[in-house]
Amino acid sequence: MNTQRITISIPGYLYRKLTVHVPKRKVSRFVAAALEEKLMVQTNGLADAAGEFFQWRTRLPKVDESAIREAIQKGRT
Amino acid sequence: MTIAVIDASFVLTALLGETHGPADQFKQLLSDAEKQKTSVYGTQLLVTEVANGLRFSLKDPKTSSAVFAAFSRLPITVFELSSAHMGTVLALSYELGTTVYDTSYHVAALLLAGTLHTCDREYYKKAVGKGHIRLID
Repeated sequence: MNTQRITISIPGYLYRKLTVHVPKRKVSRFVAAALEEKLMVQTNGLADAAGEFFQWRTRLPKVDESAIREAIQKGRT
Repeated sequence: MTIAVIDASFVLTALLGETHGPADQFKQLLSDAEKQKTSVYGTQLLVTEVANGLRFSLKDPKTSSAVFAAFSRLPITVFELSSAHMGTVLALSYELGTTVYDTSYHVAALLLAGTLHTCDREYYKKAVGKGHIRLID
C-alpha cells in the first residue's frame, strides 16, 4: 500500500490518551482508521445535509419569484 | 476548482420557487462541492436574508426554524466582507444604481474571482456588464 509520512500536532491531553490506549507501533494504523471514519462521516454528512434541505422543497408551498424577493427585502427600509 | 457565490434569491427560489431549474442548479452546485469541484460561498448577509425570507414566506415558526437549521448545515463558507470591501460595494452600487445589499454578493464574487449565482433578474440586468454573475431561472 502506498503510504505518506506526515507530521501532525495534537493537544497534549489527546496525545496522553492515545499513548494509554494504543501501542506505539500501532499509532499510524489507528490514526489512519480514525481519519477514514471521520472523512466518511463528513462526506455522508454533506450528502445528507443537501438531501435534508431539498426534502423541505417537497413539503413547502410554492411561492412566486416576486413574493420571494419581497420576503427577502421586507423591513430593509 | 470553481468558486460559486450564492445569494438569498437563489437559495429561497431553489427551496420555494415554482420551477425546478434553480433547485436543480443548487443541487448540482452542492454535489460539485461534495466532490470538491466547486467551493460554495455566501456572505453574512446571505444568512440574514435567508432567515428574513423564511420569516415572511412561511407562517409556522417551527417549520421555519427547521428549514433554517437544514440550510445552516449546507456546505457554504461565509466570506467576510471587510470595511474596505464595503467601500468597494458602496462605489459599485452607485455605479450600477443598485442597493448595497444586492451588490455585496457580487463584490464577494469579484473578489473571489468566482461567479455570483442569483435569481434576482433586476440586479442581474443592471450588473451583468461587470461579469462574474449568472442568472438562474
